[in-house]
Amino acid sequence: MNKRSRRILNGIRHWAVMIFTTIFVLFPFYWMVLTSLKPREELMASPPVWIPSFLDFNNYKLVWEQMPLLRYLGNSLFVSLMTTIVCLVLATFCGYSISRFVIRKPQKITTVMMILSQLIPGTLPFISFYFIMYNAGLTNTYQGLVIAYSVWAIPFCTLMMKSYFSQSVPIALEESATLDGCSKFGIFFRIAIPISVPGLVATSIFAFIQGWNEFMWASVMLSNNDMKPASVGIYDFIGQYGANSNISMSMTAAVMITLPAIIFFAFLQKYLISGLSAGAVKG
Amino acid sequence: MKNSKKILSALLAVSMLSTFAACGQDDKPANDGSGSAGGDTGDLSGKTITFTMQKYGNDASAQDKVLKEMTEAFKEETGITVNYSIIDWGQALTKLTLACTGGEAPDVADAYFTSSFVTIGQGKYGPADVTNVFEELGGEDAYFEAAIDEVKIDGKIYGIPWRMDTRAMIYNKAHFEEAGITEVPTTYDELIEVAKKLTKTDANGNITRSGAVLPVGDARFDQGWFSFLAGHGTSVMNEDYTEFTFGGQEGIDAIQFMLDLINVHKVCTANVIDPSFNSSTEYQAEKASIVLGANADFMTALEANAPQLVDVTGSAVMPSLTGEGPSSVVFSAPICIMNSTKERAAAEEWLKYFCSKEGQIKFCSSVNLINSRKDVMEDEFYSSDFMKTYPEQAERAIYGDPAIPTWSQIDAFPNGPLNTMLTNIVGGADIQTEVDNCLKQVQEIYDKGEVDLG
Repeated sequence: MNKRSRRILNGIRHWAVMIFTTIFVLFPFYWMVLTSLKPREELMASPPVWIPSFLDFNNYKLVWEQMPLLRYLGNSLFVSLMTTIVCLVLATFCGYSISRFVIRKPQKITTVMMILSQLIPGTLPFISFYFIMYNAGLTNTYQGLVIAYSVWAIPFCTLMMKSYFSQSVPIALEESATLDGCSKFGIFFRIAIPISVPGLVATSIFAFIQGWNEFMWASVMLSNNDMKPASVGIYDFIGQYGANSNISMSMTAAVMITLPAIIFFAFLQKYLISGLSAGAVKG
Repeated sequence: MKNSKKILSALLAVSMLSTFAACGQDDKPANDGSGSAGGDTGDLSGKTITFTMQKYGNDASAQDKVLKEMTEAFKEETGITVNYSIIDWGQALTKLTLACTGGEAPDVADAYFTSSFVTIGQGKYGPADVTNVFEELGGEDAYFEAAIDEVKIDGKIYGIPWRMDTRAMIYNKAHFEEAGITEVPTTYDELIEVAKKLTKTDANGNITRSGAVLPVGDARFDQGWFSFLAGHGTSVMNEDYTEFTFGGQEGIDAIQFMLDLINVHKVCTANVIDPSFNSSTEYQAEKASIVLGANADFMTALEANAPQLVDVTGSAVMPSLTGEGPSSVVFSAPICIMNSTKERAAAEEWLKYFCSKEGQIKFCSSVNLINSRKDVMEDEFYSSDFMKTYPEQAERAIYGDPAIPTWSQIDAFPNGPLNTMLTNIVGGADIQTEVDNCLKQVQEIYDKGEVDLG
């Protein structure tokens, strides 16, 4: 096999893997969108209808009438943004502190503890955490939801920021600033933060998506329908005993709920990739 | 630059503070000392109570709309505000358990597993005694007997029975016509004969359309089995709930009948064991001609997902071994006032309003539920061709959930002893061995008497 044939074969292999992976990943989304647009008569047809006889956009009108989608999306947006702010502020301070000032063994243990917290299944401390929230009067409040989300997101956000500060902000730069008379806070705000924008954005995206997708806490802590986030609101189309679902409306709501996260990710994904890959290779 | 950083920091700090500033300031029920348990019958105008319900119907707006109308009309009549919330079924058990163990509880709740919740609430939390309201609403004569079993513990009533759920047979009239069948089966022998005519197979003998499918979803067989137990003249427990009776010959025959539909008569697909199998969706996809047990809400799912089948779908009373007597089960659920309420009198008023004949007709007809009140089931809403089967079926049904506190544990899904036994048997295990093991386990749980909803 000559060089040219080998190159073509490699190209074919590469594209075959890419196409297969893309189809594998995107198929559920394709099915979700397709189901939301199928005429109802074709929803349950056997064998399944892959290309509908026509596209029925009526569900996209009905979904606004049958559920308070705008309110649900607003709730999700508010809680996710607040979670992002809380996580970002705390994780930035904490991550920087760990990356620069953790020298002694007891201090290092806190970092290990932070990593360990990620290994605990979210459902394990569920009941006790619920009662803490209840006794603090935080169930059925946005604040409670933000705290619950942040508790689980902050450790990972901190580790992300710590990694970014450690690998991408040269200590030599900070030492130079110290020689020029800059205080510790001055170094943090004037040097570390401006250099770390990609890391901050990546952490924000992580915290936002964590908040946007969260279901468990919201479904247990909230009983007030007006405060439901979209992830819980989608259950409005699931009937008695969690069965008898209205499939097309569920899928339509799912499309509407997925869109903001996709748009958010599309605009900021270059930061996420650079933020996550920073420090991946030690130089 | 220096100032902008400070402003940014200050803004962040303010936004965080404002987020948490209101922590703990609201949402706890006001305890103003008025309307204490069992007491205040004075002017209730201005009182506020909370009311939670599970989700019913699959039109997301229907339940919300009817509750809004009812609470507004109630407020106009009494001056009492009812803040209602609708809980999805995935969280219902968790929320009710928390409410009955000291967590956040509404004043009035749509509950189930009543005897379990009364036990774990220990008189402090959980459902409260509402015998007085029950009597005002007509007492035992007003309700179907099976519905009262669910709420009566030691002679006291712990909730007002409202929704009822019995499972009737659903069939595709077009498939019947195509197969030349003119009568719906009333006995199991007739059922098998009819189902054989309706079943279609491919060239390899694989079923492409089941003549009759077991009522299964998520590989859960217990509720269908209860109906077949009834159809074979027995039940899980005896009438006074002191002994498990499913291990007798009729019980074994009921399980064997389910298996035979799959393995011997080959009228039901063996895919029922697959957790992704659902008899409703199988019917909607026209891969089943008969569903051996579906609730009254089946039609709304059909309207949403397969409207072309609405006109060709019929309902009939489930067949039984002899064609007479019980052939299905009935589940009922109560609306309860929770012991933790600080507004008992207002809660009672709402309970009377919501559970009245008029209230129940309005609510249940909006979300396609059948009802525990006899006079509600006489309403014209239940006289349509599809719905009229359900009152008839209710008359030929036995209880679905025995009123014992440990039932939630015995019938837990997927790992309770009953469900484990049935899954194993349908999966190929020996019937007698599994039944014997199960009897031992359920007796142990029953004797221990400890309630575990987990």
